[in-house]
Amino acid sequence: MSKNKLNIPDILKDMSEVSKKILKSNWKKVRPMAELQLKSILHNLEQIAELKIKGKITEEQAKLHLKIQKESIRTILLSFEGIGIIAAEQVINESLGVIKNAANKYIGWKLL
Amino acid sequence: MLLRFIIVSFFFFSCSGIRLIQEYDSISDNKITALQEKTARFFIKAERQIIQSQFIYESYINFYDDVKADLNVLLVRSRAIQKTDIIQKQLNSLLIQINTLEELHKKKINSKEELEPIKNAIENSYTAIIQFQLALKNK
Repeated sequence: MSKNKLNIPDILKDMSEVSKKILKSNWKKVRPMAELQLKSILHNLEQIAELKIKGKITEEQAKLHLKIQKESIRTILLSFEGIGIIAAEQVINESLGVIKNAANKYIGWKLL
Repeated sequence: MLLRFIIVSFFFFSCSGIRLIQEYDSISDNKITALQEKTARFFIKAERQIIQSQFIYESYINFYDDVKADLNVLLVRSRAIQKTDIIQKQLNSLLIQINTLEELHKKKINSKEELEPIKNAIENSYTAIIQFQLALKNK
């Protein structure tokens, strides 16, 4: 075995740093688009309400309009969920990388 | 403790990383972009025709058939690839939007004001789907 010590608190600290960095960078990328898309949906809902109040569309048509908006929100939220899963995958694999390096360092040769 | 750590590490690294979600599929991505272009052309034509009161459902049956067929092809492809739950749900959602647009069109869409929220919602859906594809590509 190597003379290097296996420092568990240091490994955990490195894993935590890696996770924070990945999640922060992902949220930075997603946030502006998320705000823009959800604002646009709110604007659409206002427009539909106005069309119904003015009597330009029937209640049945309004319901169909709302169905489209609901599905659009669903698509947007699914995208965030997917991007979140990608980030989680990155966090897990980067954290495992930290363990891998620590284990190799401890053993003194490239086992993993 | 240390031996356990090494055994656990060895177990994790015996495979190459952990995969929670599908890999990027360029064929699906290209098909989605082509579908988005087709839909964008539909809305451009619709906006022009609606002013001239020529936005008649019967003239657009081919468009609806094409888009629904394309979405079905994409769904079948996605089902054949592992861990594609997100894109499958997104495509299903888009299919519901197109079907509902068709239903509204059959009942008649009379003005640009009526078309606008539909156009925005469908465009937002495409943006979200493409955004997810880009994230898969860059992972």
